[in-house]
Amino acid sequence: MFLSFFDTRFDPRTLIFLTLSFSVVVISVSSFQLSLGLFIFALGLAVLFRAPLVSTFKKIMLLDGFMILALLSLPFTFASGPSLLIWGVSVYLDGFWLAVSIALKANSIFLCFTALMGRMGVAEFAHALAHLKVPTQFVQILLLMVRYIDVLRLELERMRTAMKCRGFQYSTSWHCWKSIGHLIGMLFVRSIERGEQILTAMKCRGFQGTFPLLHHFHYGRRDSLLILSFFSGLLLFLIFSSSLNLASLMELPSHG
Amino acid sequence: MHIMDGVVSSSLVVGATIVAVSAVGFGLKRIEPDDIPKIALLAAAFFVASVIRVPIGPTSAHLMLTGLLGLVLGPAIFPAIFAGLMLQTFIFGFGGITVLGLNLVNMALPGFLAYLIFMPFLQKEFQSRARDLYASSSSSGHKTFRFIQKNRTFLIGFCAGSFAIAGSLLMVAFSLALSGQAFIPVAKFMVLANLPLIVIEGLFVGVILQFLTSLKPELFAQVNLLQTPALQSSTELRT
Amino acid sequence: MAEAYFKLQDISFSRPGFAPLFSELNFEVYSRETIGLVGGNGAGKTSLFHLLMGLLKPSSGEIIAFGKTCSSEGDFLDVRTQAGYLFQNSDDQLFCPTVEEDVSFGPLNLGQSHKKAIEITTKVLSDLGLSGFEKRITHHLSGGEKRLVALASVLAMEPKVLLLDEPTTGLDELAYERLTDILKRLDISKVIISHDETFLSALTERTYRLKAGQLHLL
Repeated sequence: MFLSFFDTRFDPRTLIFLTLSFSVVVISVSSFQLSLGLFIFALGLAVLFRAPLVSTFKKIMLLDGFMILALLSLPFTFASGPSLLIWGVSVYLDGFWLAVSIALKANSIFLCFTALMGRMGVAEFAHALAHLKVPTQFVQILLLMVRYIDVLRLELERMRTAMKCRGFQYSTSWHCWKSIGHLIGMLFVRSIERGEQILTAMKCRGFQGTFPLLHHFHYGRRDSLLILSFFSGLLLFLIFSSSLNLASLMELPSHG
Repeated sequence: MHIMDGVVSSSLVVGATIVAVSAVGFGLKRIEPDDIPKIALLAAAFFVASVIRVPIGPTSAHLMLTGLLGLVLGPAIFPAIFAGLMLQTFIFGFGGITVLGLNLVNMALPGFLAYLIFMPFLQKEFQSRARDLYASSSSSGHKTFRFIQKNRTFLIGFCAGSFAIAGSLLMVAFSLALSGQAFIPVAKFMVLANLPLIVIEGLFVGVILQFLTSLKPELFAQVNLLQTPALQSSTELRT
Repeated sequence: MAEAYFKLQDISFSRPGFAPLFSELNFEVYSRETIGLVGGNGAGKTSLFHLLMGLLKPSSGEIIAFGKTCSSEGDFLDVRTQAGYLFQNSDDQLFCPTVEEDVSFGPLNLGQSHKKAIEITTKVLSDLGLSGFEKRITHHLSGGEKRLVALASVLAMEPKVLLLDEPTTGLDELAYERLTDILKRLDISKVIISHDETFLSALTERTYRLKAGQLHLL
């Protein structure tokens, strides 16, 4: 009974609002304890909303590779506070804890996003934006993009296949680079022409500059209930985690 | 070169979001309803092209092409890239939610500046191309001069592409540095590691711009910067 | 004795989640012969070409191309330089700004010098009656001209076999006749997918129908 509540469909606007609020809370807290509390809260959300945790984990691993490297480098480059000497390399604790807290924050937001919005379709998302008073022109750009990204991706694939059939191989050479440049140029030309065709087709069907919205959403009592329980839960977690004493953990044996 | 959630300070997030929202609004105001399919499809193509890897010795790199997008879209670059970033966040779940605005500003603003700076040059190039149709002037002079004459479009593209990515790099580094002392070494490293990309982006934007101007010159003709009648259109001259 | 260019032995292939497209299919292409290939939509004609070019991999069976058993991507790099594949949609094939750049793309991939590549291009274009097209912008050509330029770009690699996927669709009468004429004069092996019976009977020695994963001689 309790769990099935989280399986019901909520108004997408509610979910977007909650995800955004949570993200703002996460980035505005500065203490490590609170970040940890919020992370556990997000983990709880992921379990309650039955987010596919394995694929979520894989996605987390895909998080921008460079930033992961940057995080990994922090304990070595941020020369401040006490340091440990591990295999002859100084590891700065301040840098280490900073990296951990950033990782916690990024993953909390990601987990919350996957839990609340992971099952929402892109089209539904775009429509929800329109109902949240995002300009329709922007929503229309988003919807057309969603519709045609795959079409263009397939076109690109076909052109690359054709290049392969003519013996093209990737290498560091001007010939290769120029060919890739032409390939991208051709992709742009085709996308522009398709855009022109779409406009013509839209005009043939009576387009006069406005886009009608078909989807409408219903904000109901379950949405209020979700918002209420979400924020009370969040508050509880924040109070609880701020009362924890993690200071002893932060001051590991140091060779300051 | 995305910054992820949790790295930058909240005041920077708030500031960048305000700038981003106004920039997108500014861009949307300058869009005619008839331009929407073209902008959306170009944004989609840009999104699709970002998977292409350019081999550089033993490694490879992705292209940003924001300088090119700026030249093609003008102010519409803001909504176009914003839609792309939003989809990236939505479909792949990364790209960052709170830093959406910051990432948009870091990517699109240099592209838009490249448009403001280099579009007049491109327009001039179109006008002289149109003149050359009448008087097939066999340009004389020094060898380098002739080379520049012949490859002016490429050079404009090279400058726009390099300018945009260099701008993005500096802005990302600056955002990191603003967020705290801790990130300064990382920011420095990031700029150094990406220096070769500035040249490579330039080369690609140059080649693609040359391609687009010969296949679809109408994309660049009759452009009024910021919608103020500024330059004589080249199509008029050609007819 | 005619040399076998392609030998497919007991090839089976299926797309993930679909019924098998080919089951233990056998197919051979010898030097200097022209084969027609017909079959309904979705019978797998284009997929057969993709198997020959190594763009798809069979689930079982053996592909022997130009005397060599081919299985890895590396094996097929060689095949792609000896077999020329003309795509159904020429726009997928032509991606360079000018005709000259498009036609010389293949020779440059084969490692020819820039000068040699231009020489080949000029020759192939004049063979196909396209002299003077060098500096034209490919994208602005008519459908028929694009098809011929695509054919030129394939012929520039001096292939031993041509794989033609619906070469006549969308051509007007003039372009149609020009293409038929050019293909008749070309003294290399050809495999032609087409729905056009007159076209096939004018060019081919034998025609197969692809049906239910098997080839039937007509």
